[in-house]
Amino acid sequence: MSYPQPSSTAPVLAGQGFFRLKTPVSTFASGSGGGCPTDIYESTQGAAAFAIGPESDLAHYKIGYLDPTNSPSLMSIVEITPERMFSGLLYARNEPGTVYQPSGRQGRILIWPTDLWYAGYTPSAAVIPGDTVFTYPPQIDIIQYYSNPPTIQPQRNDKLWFTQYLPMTSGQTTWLVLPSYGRSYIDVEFANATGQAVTYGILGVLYSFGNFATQETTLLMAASVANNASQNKVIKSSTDGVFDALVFSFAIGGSPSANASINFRATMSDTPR
Amino acid sequence: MPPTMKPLQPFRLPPKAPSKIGVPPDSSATNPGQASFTQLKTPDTNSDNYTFFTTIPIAGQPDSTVLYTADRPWVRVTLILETAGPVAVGTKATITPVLGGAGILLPPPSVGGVGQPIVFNLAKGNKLYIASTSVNRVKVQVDPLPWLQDIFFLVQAVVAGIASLVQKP
Repeated sequence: MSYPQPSSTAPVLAGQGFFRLKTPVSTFASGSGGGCPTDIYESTQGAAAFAIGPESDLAHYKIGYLDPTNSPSLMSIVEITPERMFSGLLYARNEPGTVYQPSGRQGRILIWPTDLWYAGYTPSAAVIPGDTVFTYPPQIDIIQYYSNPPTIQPQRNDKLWFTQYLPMTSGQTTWLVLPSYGRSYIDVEFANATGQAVTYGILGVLYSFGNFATQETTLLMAASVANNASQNKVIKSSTDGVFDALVFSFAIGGSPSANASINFRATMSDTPR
Repeated sequence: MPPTMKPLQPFRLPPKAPSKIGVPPDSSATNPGQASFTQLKTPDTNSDNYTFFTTIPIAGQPDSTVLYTADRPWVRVTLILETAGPVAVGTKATITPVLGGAGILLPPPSVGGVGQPIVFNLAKGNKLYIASTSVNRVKVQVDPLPWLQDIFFLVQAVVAGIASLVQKP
């Protein structure tokens, strides 16, 4: 959880019509397989609606609010996804004595992601030490509207991951772990200009609770891509499934040339195609 | 001898009798009976616009605060909530708990951030109270009511005139 917590009051004082909670996930429930992120943020402002923000990597969030009719905890929860925002007045209860039970915490609005994540994940085929694993923590992005939301529901952006360079050493594998929660259509392009053949593959990953092993699904069997050749792979939720993350492996056959480069780009979309 | 005909004279208020206990320098603004007719004929036409920020209530402090005190004979106060609330307003100090229904909840803004206005017509001396459970922006527009002020001043003038006639020996 990022400290200090993003302030939901500052946008009110600034006359902004919404509060955007945008921060990387930083904590998760303990266990070797992962767990729910334990980042819980609070808002001291009332809301007219909640929607997932354009830069969100996660696909599921829960919103907790004080509901005197829901005993014994006095907390009711709604969940938002890229397909379904929540529209309705939720009040932040900051007045003295209005608290959740049995914790006795102030009745503010609470926000937390519910997708699973494991910061310590390493692919099962990775050789540690030796291989290099680049993991991008998923981004939290939620918009809290202070006015009634637009009639057209906000959408997540089509996320573009792009790089022209990855450190690769002969005899070792470089792994790239990118979040893909809830994405329906993913287009991956890899063009090899390293001067050597590169063994390239794609895994789909589902994190798990506690000490259960992370589930891996082979989406593209690792195979050699010759120098100056390219590989394209389209991953669809209807045929391949939905994954928490995609893992890309790159193993170079020899020493890369002096001006070695790759052209790797992955476009992740919520729109089925 | 025929009776003397006097031409008709326009009606004028008789001069007021001087006070025996003295008149404070600023009494004309507070004591209607001491105000001059010229002052009474000029209604206050100034408007006032500002943004009021509600605060989070603190234990041991009053739940509601004074949003506006009517310092003119009649004013129209328009309130527009720019955030989601809840914000309760009312003319009595006991409008809490905010969601308890003792006051009026300001409606939250619709799409585009434009809220539905709530209007109060306040006589001089009345107060408008506000309470909330969070920090909110409230747009406040205070407008004079010239026609109502005219009626008010006219009534005041008539009353003052009658009072001075009664006081005359």
